Amino acid sequence: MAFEIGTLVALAMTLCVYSYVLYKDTPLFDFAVNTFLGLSVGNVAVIATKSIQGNVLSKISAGDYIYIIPTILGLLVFFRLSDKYKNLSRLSIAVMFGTGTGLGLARTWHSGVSRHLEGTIAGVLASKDAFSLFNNLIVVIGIITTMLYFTFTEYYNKPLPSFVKRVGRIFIMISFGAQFGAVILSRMAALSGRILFIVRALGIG
Amino acid sequence: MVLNRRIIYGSVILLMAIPYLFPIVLPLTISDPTLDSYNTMEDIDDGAVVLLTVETDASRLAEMESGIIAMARYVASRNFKLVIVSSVTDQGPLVTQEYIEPVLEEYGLEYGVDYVHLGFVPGKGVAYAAMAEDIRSVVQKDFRGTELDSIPMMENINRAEDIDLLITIDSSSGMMYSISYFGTPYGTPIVASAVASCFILRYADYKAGMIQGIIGGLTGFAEFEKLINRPGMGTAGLSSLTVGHLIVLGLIILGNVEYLRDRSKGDA
Repeated sequence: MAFEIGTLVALAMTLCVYSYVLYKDTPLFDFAVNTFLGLSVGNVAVIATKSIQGNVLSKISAGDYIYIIPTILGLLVFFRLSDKYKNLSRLSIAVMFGTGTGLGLARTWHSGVSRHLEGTIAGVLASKDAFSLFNNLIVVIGIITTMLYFTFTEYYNKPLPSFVKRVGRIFIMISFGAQFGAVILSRMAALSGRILFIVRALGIG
Repeated sequence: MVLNRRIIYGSVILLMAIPYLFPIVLPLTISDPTLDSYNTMEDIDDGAVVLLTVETDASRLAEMESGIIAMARYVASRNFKLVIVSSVTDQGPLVTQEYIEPVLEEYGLEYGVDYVHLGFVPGKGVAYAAMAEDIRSVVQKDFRGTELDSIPMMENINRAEDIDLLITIDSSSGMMYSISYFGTPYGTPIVASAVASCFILRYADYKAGMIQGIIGGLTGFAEFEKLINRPGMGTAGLSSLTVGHLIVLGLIILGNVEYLRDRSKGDA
């Protein structure tokens, strides 16, 4: 039996959370959830304060006054809470979106689209045997029909194009099924991890 | 037939606990993504500079813990110069302190000489982009408050070109930023250790060659433990996971049988 206070608290919290599925929505479950939320927010507050102190205040106090500009932009975000002055927050949000979009656009095409296209085409051309060629062709057909599924022009109501769209829909459904299966895998693994913790904490495993 | 959900959940939990009480050793084959991850890391020289991004939070630890500890053991045994940082999740530093640093110290690694923890760098993609060009533009002090310039290990480490390998421990979007801002522009080799749901999403990146290997889910972590010859929680959890999946499979089949039976009764 584990007697460390941290382990006992963790065990108690785990059982409080599981009381929801094994019994019903209990005050114990609410307590555990709210404790977790509170701790998460507290952690964020500490990290944010440390970050502002280290990245902004210490630099301004060292004479690097350029950091006053992003400080003002950061403070403007709080005007979102005011009905009268909330438009001032749009400037900060615009800067954040603009920076993110600019950085993302430069990289996303290459890492998100062109490298995948290269890999797909190279996979077909570099197939070593009939089986891998067949597999790679299925990938190509899946990509083309999936992309065509999201085309909503009148042309795709005709028999052949609509068949192509149906094939695309099947590939999309298979993909969603695979992702759902992976999520189930993740959740079962998480459950397995917690069961191991409970077994060890109780000293029976 | 309607089964009370409490019976279903309770029986799943109890049955999944049995393999921990009465261990069952199941055969395990190493999958290509895990093998490629291991081989990529083995090809890197001892003493190389490795950027370890810890982008997992507490809610995913039940699944990730075995993978985190296995990866920490491996990098510690290889004498890599580790730079540890988080940018997507603010709980990364907590995970580093609780799970990674104790393993590094167990292997005798010295802070400031063998590894440095930079803490949480806010900004996600923007932070990754800035770190790739100039780490000191976003981080001047480590997590303990020491100036980077006064840490011996960090003397020649400042940009993506100084990094020999990027290992990302990921349960969200860390891999995406690693690929976009380190792998694609600078050609930094990337190895990922991720939850199963991220593994599926990023498998296409692995097949396209954008990441050199990906260790996904509890099964992947068990495979990695087998490769490094350190069986741990991943290996122990495999049989429990198998039991859980068999139960879910059985319930799905049962549910579909009941559905077809009700439908045929309805038709009759």
